[in-house]
Amino acid sequence: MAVDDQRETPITPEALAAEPVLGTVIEPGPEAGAFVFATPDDQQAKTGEFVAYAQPLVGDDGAVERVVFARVAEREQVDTLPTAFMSNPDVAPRRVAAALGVDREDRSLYRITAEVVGYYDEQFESFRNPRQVPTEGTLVRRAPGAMLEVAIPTVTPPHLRDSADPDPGMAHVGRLLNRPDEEVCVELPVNEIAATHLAILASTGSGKSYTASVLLEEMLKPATRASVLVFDPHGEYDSLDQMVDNPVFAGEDGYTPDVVIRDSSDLNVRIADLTFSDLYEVLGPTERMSSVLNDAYQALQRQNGAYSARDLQTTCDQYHPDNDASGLRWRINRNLMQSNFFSTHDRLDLDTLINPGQITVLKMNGLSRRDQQMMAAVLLRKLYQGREAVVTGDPDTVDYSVEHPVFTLFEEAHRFAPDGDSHALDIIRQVNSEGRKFGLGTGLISQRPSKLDQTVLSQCGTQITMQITNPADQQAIRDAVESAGEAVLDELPGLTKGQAVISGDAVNTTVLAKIRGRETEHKAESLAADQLWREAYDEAQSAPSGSRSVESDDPTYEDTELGD
Amino acid sequence: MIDLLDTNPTIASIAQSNSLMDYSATVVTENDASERPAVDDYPFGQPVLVPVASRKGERVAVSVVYTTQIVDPGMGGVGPSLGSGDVTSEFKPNLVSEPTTVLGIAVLGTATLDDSADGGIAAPDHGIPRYTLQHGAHVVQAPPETFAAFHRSDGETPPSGAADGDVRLAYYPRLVEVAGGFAAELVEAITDRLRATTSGQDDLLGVIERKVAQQAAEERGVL
Repeated sequence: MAVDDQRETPITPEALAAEPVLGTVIEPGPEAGAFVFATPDDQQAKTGEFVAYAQPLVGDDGAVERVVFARVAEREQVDTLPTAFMSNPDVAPRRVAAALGVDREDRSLYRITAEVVGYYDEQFESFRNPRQVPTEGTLVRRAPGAMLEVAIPTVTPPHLRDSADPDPGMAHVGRLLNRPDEEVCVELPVNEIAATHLAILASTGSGKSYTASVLLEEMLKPATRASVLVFDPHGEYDSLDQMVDNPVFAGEDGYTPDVVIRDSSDLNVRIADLTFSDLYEVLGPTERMSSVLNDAYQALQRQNGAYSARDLQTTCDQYHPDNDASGLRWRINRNLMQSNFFSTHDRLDLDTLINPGQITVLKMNGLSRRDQQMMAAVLLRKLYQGREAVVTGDPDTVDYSVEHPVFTLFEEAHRFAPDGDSHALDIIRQVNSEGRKFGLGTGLISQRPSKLDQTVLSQCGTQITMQITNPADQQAIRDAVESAGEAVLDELPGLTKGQAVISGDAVNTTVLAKIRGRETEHKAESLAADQLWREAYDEAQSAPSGSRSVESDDPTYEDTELGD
Repeated sequence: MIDLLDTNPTIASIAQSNSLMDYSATVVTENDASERPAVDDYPFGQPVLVPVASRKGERVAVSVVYTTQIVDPGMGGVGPSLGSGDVTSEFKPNLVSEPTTVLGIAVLGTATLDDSADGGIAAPDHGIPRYTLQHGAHVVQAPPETFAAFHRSDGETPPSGAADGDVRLAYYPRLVEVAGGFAAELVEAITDRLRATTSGQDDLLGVIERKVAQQAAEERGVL
């Protein structure tokens, strides 16, 4: 034990008392656990801001004065100026007030409703509800950043960590909103995110893939060295390969992250990895064919090895020599043999895809939706079985054992786990509900939470929610995300690009954060349509046109001819 | 030093007070001065000056006429009289017919008489006057430039929100108390005079007028 190394907790009433007073408690609030305080300061008490006060709480050790944190929920100006003061937009109402002998600076007063978050219990590493609100006259101060940095993440506070313990992998995703830049870091425990799954929900253009990239960068830093697999239907994560040469990601021991980008032409699914249900989906057999297929499938499974489409055809014939399988043969030929996507041999060997300190981006932009789902299903199944076998101590039962935890990230997750039919849905549900035990985590990124399977969404323990204006999507979040309080939902339409509400298992209380800048370039910006149009037009103008007459007296045409 | 009080016509003298800010003054009659002021010398909203006698220097109360009242002491004598015949009809011992006009004077604030200053006054203070006015003190017409100077905020730190050179009517809440029902019209009378003697303040004065009118309309049940 290195008790001597332990620093003192920054969360003390004495430390709080050093902060300037923000306001004074007036009365209990309209709802349980809320209180109202008055403040003349309209800058510090913004919605979502953390405030704190000291309160004696009776516990096992007698009455102990504790620092209780609260969050500003509503603000209301008490003495607003009469509407008539605004009758001429050219005259500032404060000028009118000043002329009539009212000094606004002295009079502006705000009633702030704050919700008690709780006091930080170091033993439980979380907030505990004091079940009482502050008495009138209690002084309310802005919660100091040093206290929040300790209290927000769900990890052992630094001053209690044994120096022999490895540092918990913390992902620095951004800064607390409302605070001046660089004041309060928001750090999320990577373990918690990977174990309890993550949802990044945001409208298009509000920065969801940017946020995911920030998180991926953090996971690949030397302190964490995660093993990550990204399912990327749009090719938005190419630029992550800049991590390789960036000194930020270099470890003292020579570590650099390995970034593997696999183009869609490089992606395939081994036919032997398909389940009967997968084959059914791909081949679409009739009832009769289905019976033939089932027999052949079972037979091939008993052989326990790779097989080709031709093997499948042959096996069908073996079991139904009386030509029952002719239709099925045609379907196997068309859908499996003529497809580049299904192959006998595996080009997606797990050993090449997942390794500690390696991120593999599967660019699926050339694949059909069905193939995307099929590939996700096959890979997730392998990962799940591989992890399960290792954790349960029975690695010989599977083809692939996966020795380390893996985090998988699904961009456009509503394609893979839609609120409807998807081939990948069952396995994603299974991973989300049971993956925690086996160290298999998923991150789901979606711009349409309402189109996501609600079971899958509700199993994501940590949520990073960004601007969402669509009411159906807001409702989906309300229904599926347990920790999303009304206050969080109210914030969603008002967030701007790069601002996020972080809630769930990785944080002790919901926080509003500004996502940090990326170390690597961001690629998912919208195309500049106007520029592309102009360029295309210029190109078309400068190219010789077959539709024009050679005798044209158009000078531009003549010039073009001469130029050529 | 007391030029302002000497050079401007005296229109009344303080007769009674209702509060530190609210006085009654009787208009000068033939019995008091050779020239009796005409009614247009003391219209509604007329700015006036009244000297404040204190040991701390020569200050003057800047005020406005906010109401008038005609008083006839003989009114009480109308009725059946004792006596008989022709004698009693003409017999009025000791009584002179002296109906008079009483002005309601609302004090806006105080200022120091200063010949060298613009408008003849300096250090305008829109607060409640510290000392009472004296019984019999002369009520003198205030020249427009003096009234304007009283409303300027030059030379002092403007309150937050005020633009440089803005007019100030910081007495407004107290004036409403004194002037009662006609406060809106009184403020309008004041802003009219200020509009004529200041520049660049029309917009601000307009908003103040609208605000006061709106408030009056609401209180009177119009809106």
